[in-house]
Amino acid sequence: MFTKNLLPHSWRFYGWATFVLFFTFWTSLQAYSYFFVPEFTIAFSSEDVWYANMLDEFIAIVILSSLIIIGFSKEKVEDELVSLIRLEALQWGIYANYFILALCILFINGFDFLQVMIYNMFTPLFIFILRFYWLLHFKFGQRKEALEK
Amino acid sequence: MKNKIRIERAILNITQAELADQLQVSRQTINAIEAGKYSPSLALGLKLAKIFNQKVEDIFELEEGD
Repeated sequence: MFTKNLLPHSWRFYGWATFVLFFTFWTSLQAYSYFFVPEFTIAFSSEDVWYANMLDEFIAIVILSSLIIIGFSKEKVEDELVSLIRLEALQWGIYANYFILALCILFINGFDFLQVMIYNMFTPLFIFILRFYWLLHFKFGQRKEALEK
Repeated sequence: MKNKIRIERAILNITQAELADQLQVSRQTINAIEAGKYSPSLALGLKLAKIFNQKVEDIFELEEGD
């Protein structure tokens, strides 16, 4: 079946591998602030030259890209049901994400809300992927007892 | 939407997997159609009818609320 704008199936493995690697790296950075990581910096020149540590930015972009690859690479057999499940999961993910965000807007105030916004960069994709795989493997998934001749 | 795919498949004596292969879809899709969880596209419905050598309306039937 012809499907538009999806990545090849083989990419998914690399998406998961990158995600697991960089997510572990990021959480260990959060947990052990003394964890030695060589910083890489870019010099921004204005009136004064200043340096910014680009490590966080780099990790964020890599994690976002890996989530995009996981969510939007083709299944082994990519057919119309899979496309429908993907779109429904995306819709459900957006609803769920903004519902959670609305609760956070109501109940989290002040500077803590910045943390919510940081997580919110990743959660729409993350919820979508969880929902997609749940639908694909549990709701429409194959179970051995359902196999029949 | 009701359908008679399970019956037609039994007549041809083919498994869900074999039918799925012929249609180039996944076995889950055939299973979902048979279970009434998913209504196939017009193209897939026509392909199914062709394999079973029947008319689409002989295989699929609208239910109330469709």
